[in-house]
Amino acid sequence: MSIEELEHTADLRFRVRAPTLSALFAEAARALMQTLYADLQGPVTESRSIELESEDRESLLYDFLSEVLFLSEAENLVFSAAELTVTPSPPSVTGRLGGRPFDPAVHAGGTEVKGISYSDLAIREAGGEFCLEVLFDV
Amino acid sequence: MSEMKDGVVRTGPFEWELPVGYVPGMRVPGRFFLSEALAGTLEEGALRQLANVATLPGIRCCSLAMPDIHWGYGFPIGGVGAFDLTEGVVSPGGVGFDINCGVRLLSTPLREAELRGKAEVIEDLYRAVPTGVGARSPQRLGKADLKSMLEDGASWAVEAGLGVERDLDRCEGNGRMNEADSSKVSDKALQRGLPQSGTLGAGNHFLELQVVDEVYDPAAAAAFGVEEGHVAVMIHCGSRGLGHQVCTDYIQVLEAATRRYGIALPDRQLACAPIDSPEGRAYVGAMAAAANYAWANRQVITHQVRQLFGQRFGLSEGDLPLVYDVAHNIAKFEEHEVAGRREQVCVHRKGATRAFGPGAPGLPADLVGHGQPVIIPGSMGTPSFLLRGTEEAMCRTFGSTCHGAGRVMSRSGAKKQLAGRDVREALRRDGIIVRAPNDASIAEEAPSVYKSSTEVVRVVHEVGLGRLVARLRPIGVIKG
Repeated sequence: MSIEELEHTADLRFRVRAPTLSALFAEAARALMQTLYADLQGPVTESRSIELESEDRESLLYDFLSEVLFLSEAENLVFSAAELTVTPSPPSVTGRLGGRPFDPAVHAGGTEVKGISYSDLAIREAGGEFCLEVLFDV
Repeated sequence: MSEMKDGVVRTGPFEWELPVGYVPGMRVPGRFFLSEALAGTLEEGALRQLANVATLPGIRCCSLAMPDIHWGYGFPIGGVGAFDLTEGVVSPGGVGFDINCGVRLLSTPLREAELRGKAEVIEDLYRAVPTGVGARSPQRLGKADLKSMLEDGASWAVEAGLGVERDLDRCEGNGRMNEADSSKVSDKALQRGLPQSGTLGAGNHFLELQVVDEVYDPAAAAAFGVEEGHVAVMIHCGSRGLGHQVCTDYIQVLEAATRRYGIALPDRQLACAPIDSPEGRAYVGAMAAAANYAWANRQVITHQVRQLFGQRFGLSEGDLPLVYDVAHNIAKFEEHEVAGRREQVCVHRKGATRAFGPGAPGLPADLVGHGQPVIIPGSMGTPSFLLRGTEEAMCRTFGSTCHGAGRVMSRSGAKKQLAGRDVREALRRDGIIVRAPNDASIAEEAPSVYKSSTEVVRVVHEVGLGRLVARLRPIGVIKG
């Protein structure tokens, strides 16, 4: 599994790789949290459930990351773990996010993400692994 | 010119065209303004986005980009598109996540030497205005307050005692979009908006102390209320999580609408709906409500600044008058001349600023002879500019001009190449104090990662999309 930052002048663009679709979504959530917060260390004390269904898997990724962003900001939670099940047809994701409350002393200093962009959003499957590219508006 | 990308046609000293056919499905050409000095910074992705906008139904005249054009998502940054109200569409991709991100400028009677204890003033401002990821407002707003912010914009804050009536005259559209419909704003967006009123945010948002160090147009400067040698305060922020959520929500809604109305799109971020459709009207209502939240937000921050200057320097609210407040991520209904006829159009400005010329409707009586004040922020170490709107902009760009300098280096590139501590020290040697949560955020926003604001504004001035009024030199900045 890997998270690689790609060149983009104004915003942040990532390529994420994982062996399964479920792991790919969990890694994408990690890429988002690593952007928002300086540090993801620390015990998991809170969890939130996720249950989403969308038109296609790109929409599902957009909906999923938008939901993670919302939960983190609205509930002041920093997520460091995700146990997810992603099914391709119908495209859906269910599972739980684990994390802890935002603590400025530990987590402050990240980059604010305004939203997840559909521009160049893509999920591919090749050579026995899944790969996605996603752009965060920062 | 060797550096310009293939397929671009030069049509004037600073003017370039993307002919129909640059990408499939273009209904009108693309047009942008750029000097030879800036041509090397133009990305292929920005041109493709400019061309993509030209494929949208009901676009009038051409897809436009200002001299700060760069690669964004959906529309390019610096992009302007005007759409017919019957045939045309409205798209969150033409507004962006940070609805009504904008800039306001306050003048002060203080000269630079009278700004005693500048470092402490910066520190006080940093404490008074919550900044950065996770920052929460010290205000305790109720849902009724929030609804008022969404419906009434800056006037909510003025009525709450956080400003003066004159502030409203000095906001674009009086700091309020009448199309606002708070019932179209989701509970999620409200939940994000409630604790963030009066917060600056992060990224490129800032609050800056500046000095008016050169006046080019004394008559306009006097009318706008700026005087050479005086300290000014610039505030750059938007609609915070509330606006971000409105955009997120409506991209989902309009994605479905795009399919329902059979609109073919080259980029899903351009999800859209006919302006005159239930989905289009709902987005406009929610977008306008988020825009109002942003105006109220900048008004709250203005109050915090005035209070601090009151405590430190014994100044009253009236001693720090608002020069102007402009939006640079917004879609608005305006009347413009198109193909020789006056038409109502929906003008999307994505990283572009309204620049109405002299005599334009809606300008206060004391400004109408000069044109609308246009505020173009620089970066931490480079000057900002005050311009005035022009008739040329009314004729050529639907009354629009640039919004800033525009990035030339990615954030990751900046962090690799620049150490925040070095940037902070270099700025300090130039007399600019920077206060930010950490050094990485300073490196990301270092002056060298942006185009030269001076060159961008020179192009604007030469083309006539704004006329220079004054230059503002930064002396201290707080960043999120």
